[in-house]
Amino acid sequence: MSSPSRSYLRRRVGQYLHHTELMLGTTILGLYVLLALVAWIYYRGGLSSMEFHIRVMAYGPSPPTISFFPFSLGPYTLGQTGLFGFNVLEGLIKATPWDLMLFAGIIIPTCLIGLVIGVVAGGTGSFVDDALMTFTDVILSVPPFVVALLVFVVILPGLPTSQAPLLFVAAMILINWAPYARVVRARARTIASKPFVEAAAASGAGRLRILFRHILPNSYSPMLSQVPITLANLIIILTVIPYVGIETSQQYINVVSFMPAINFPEWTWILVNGMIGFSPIISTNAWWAYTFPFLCIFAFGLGVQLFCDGLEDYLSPQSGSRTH
Amino acid sequence: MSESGKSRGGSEPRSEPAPAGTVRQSVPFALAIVAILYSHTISPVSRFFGRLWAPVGRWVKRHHLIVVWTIRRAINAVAQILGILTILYYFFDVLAASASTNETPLSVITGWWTFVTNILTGQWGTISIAGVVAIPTATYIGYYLPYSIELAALALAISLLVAYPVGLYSGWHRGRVLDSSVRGYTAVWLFFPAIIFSLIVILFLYQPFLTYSGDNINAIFGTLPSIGWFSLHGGYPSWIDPTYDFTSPTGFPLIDAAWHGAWSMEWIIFLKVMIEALCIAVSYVALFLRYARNATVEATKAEYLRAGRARGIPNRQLLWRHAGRRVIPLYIFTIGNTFGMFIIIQSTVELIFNTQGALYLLLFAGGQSLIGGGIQTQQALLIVLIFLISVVILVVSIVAEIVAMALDPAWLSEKEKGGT
Repeated sequence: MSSPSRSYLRRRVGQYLHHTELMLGTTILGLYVLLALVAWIYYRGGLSSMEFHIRVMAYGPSPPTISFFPFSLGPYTLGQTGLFGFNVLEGLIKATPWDLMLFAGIIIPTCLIGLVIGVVAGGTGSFVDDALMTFTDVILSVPPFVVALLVFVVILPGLPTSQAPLLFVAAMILINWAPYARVVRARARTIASKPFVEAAAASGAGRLRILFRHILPNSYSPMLSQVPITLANLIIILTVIPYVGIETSQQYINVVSFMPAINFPEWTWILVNGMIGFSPIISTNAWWAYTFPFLCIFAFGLGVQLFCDGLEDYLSPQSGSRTH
Repeated sequence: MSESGKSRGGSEPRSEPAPAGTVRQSVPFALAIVAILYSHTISPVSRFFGRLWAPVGRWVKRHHLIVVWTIRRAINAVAQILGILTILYYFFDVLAASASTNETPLSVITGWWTFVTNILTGQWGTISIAGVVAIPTATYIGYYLPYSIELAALALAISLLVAYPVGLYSGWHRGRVLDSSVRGYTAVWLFFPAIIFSLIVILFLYQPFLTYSGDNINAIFGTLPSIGWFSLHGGYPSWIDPTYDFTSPTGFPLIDAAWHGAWSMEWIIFLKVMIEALCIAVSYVALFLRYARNATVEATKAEYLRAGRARGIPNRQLLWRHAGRRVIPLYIFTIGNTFGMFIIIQSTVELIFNTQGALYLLLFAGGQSLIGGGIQTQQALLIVLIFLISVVILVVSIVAEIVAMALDPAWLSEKEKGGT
């Protein structure tokens, strides 16, 4: 009885393990999750703040203190950032769990909203489809970047800073679901005209059952190719807007990023600190201050991209024969 | 009457032999009949209008799907513009007004109506700069807009000149070296934000570039040469407004410098704009090819290409003439699809390079409003800029979609069936 299903499972697991792209992505993301767990255990008390030295403005940031002969790590293993003098390595490790939570907390609800709206629009058709897609088009024509700027400029100064990340997450969920709804709707419309859906309707399945048991499982995979683009957008927003806030005001302001405090560990915030340190106007050539945060974000993005593209390929029906 | 009746052939005699009592009643009918016959058959006027409108009628008959689609998109666009305005109204008049309790706010519907009509009729208010000078918002944005348009045009042109042949060739030769390197490039560059790339360009190309261009006195990038360069070369010319750097006849510095024959300045401006455009293109091509590559692969699998190969058409001709033509609508559609991202990339590049562009103005106004007494100081500027940017994105996406469909009608029927 159970042997066919077991062999099916074994075949699928085998395909997973031999899928280079998917395995690479899984490995990279797994390493990041592991790093987050290590950070959570190691910095149990103070995961939500980095130590900072304003003094660094006068003396310049410390370079990496790692030495190989004899091996020693030193206080600033990967150096120090320019603006507030964060310890780069400590900051990046402390930031890992927060950033994974931030990105997952934005992208997963976004996907779910887009999936439901897309399936309902594409599976129902006619009036509902038109209304939902017009609404989606309205959301699509406002760039997420602009909404983030509005939130940053209009709402954030009037709020307690502890609510800033939640506000950012909510705004990004509300503005980012539209492309997902679009791709899912396109797939759902093709699925809805397939014979097996007609067969289900003929055998007496209800409308909701057809939508969520027959159409939905077949139409979520194109959503995955959109995830890296959303992530890249989020990273651009989180990098550019604090940079704007600091560069254009040229003085200390109380709202500098979407994070609750200026010493809250967050990858892009550390990156912005590094970039301020080496802008040609304040030219302190601290290459470490932007290189390591950038590499950290870059590797994460690459992992997400490999994972999503691989998973899409793995979930598609002709999984064995890849098109490229 | 009778003379003109003769000249109109058979139309007039029908109204002439009517009895005297019924003349007054039959006049309108007679006139109507005359008008119909006049416009349909005989007159040179109707012939002229017939020549003018017949092709339009034929075109509409042939492309009625596109026409219907265009009308639907236009109705959608109205809804979209109202949606954008509602979002802006909510942010600026509801949220920002609730933060400052000085004014008594209007009721929501009245306030929304006032806001929408003000924006749509062009009553955009004035901006006070340094609390003194009041300039109409439209004029102020007009100083900055040409810089952005110039940069965007160059960057889009460079991107497409690179992306079209590379995407087509890599889609045609799947799995070859170029294809895999393109895939690697799109994967890598998606997470290499333009802001970091342009900072690195400034860091490593700054001194060599300045030395090469001859503009090496206190130069921060921007588009025009620096003040130091001007003081060495006879001061600001009369055709550049020193306050807003507005160049005189057109506002586009590349065109105006050539217009006035300032060729050394033209060369510096060209170099600066080209560096910025390349920074934009490097990021945008990666994004573009990520969207366009799969479509290219699908397009190059078409049956007629296989048939053409079987008939012995050379491979190169099949690639560049047949597949290349089929891919053009897909690429036009992709421009519309990714134009929002293009604007984000360009705004970061404008910010880093200090370009006097509208997107730089958007970010700068956003940053300024954080320090100068809250949102009210730059409110009109922010509202109008965001509205204009959203409308531009909307219009570009709609126009791209319609042009793509006009070029490839088969695609429209696919879309009607529910493909992407």
